Amino acid sequence: MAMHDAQPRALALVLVIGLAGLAVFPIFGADEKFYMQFLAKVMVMAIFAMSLDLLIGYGGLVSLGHAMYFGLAGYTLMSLTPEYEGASLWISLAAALGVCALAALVVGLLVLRTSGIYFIMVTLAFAQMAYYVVHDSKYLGGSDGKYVYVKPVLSFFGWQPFSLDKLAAFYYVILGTLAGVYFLLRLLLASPFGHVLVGIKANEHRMRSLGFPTFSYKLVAFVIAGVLAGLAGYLAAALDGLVNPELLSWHQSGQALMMVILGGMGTPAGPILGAGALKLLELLLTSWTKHWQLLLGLFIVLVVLVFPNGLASLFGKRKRGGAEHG
Amino acid sequence: MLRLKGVSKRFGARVVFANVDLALDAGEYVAIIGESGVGKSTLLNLMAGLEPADAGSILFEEVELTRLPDDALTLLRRDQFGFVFQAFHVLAHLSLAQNVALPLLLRGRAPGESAALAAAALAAVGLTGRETSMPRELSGGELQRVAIARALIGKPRLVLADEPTGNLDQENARQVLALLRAQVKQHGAAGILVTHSEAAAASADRRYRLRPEGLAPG
Repeated sequence: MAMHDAQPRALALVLVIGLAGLAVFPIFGADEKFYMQFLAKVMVMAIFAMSLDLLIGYGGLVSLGHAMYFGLAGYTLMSLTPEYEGASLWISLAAALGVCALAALVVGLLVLRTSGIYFIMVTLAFAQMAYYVVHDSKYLGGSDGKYVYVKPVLSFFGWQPFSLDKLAAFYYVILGTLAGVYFLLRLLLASPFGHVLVGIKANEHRMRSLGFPTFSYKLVAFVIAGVLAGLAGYLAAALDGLVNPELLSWHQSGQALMMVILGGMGTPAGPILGAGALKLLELLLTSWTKHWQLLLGLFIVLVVLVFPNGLASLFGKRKRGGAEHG
Repeated sequence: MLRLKGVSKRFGARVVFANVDLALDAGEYVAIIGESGVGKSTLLNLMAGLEPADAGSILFEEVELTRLPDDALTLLRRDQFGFVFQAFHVLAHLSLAQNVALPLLLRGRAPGESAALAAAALAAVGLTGRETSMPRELSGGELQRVAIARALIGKPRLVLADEPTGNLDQENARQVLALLRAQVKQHGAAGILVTHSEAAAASADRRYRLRPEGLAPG
């Protein structure tokens, strides 16, 4: 069954143009390492924001502790990376995602028994616990964090198609991952699972009365979102070559939340737009004034007031996930 | 089929109702009348295992619902119960056929089979050929027809309708009540209509009035 919530054509066009622009940037801007690194970071944050939107926009689960999985994956990569050689990408990635899945499963089993403001507070509490464990752990580098000295090694039975040490190669891996996650989420949301998830957001009582085990559906969504956040965190740690407790902080969760709200909740492309807009504005404002956070805050307030459905609504209206008729 | 004996429910210190007894067999269609706030919807939720009763026994097909774990209750609702709500609860982003087929998602039906069943269910409620229409294109009466089709597509043994005409005008209400009764009877199910409207209750075989001290004929 195909979902009838296809995004407006104008937004699809913007996405295609944006992806094409990102794809050709390393060709024409090969010398612009700073901007390539910047765009790579924006794409990583877009993946992170998309994972959060699966919970907020489609499941109605506002988590303020989503950065926990982002940071856990980064720290897993750091732990598995020897000092003078790269970790196997396949093994370290599988381990990072496995850790995130397990953490999300355990946390989800506990937090999904709450709802509303309690859910927000409990997710925040779990993330803060993880933050302080990392912050106070000597092995994990304490408040300074630790370096990931060598990037993961991508190889197929000993054959290395390219090295992630080359920024352009890593950039394309991140771009491919962004596109992959976007299409994966679209498929997921167009599937029966997605229909049920949206139904739960609209009215959980109704879905329970129809015989759907709503807790299980929410738990699966929570784990998937945790794993995707972990994927973003893994890429961030490998890209920056550094992990620190800030990766798990509530600031990080709040930033992803702002991206989702700014771009448009429950719109597949919204979090990508939100991540791009927020990071680009941050870049522009920081180079202009030291009071950039004030201006950024004003911009966010303005967007929320003028476009309550986010920047995605600039490109046409659509029924948002979770709407109900009647 | 359904037997309630001495069922009670309280919210904190307030007793909503106590000692509710009811017996319902297949093919029967009964109405439970009561003023707003008397606990009609709560009673319906108890019958479906959506809320726990504080006392009493609820037997469905000789199975004691008050002792069933959540998983078993979920399965029971999926396979044996059909719900119709006052507010329709039709998902705006799904077509009519997709909305109607929603209860079949977990039953492992092939997509083609689900689509055919949904088309047949829509035809049975007078919405032939409207499979791909979206909810925003429908009137309130038509949306409630969709909800009835969704409630009955899984061939439930028990249909629970909670103020199904509360949002409809008189003419649409009359049509929906007649349709609901006809569909319940046609499927050989048992039906419980909860309403505050005497006129709506008149469509049932038997009528009961819910009061804090229990159910009384009338």
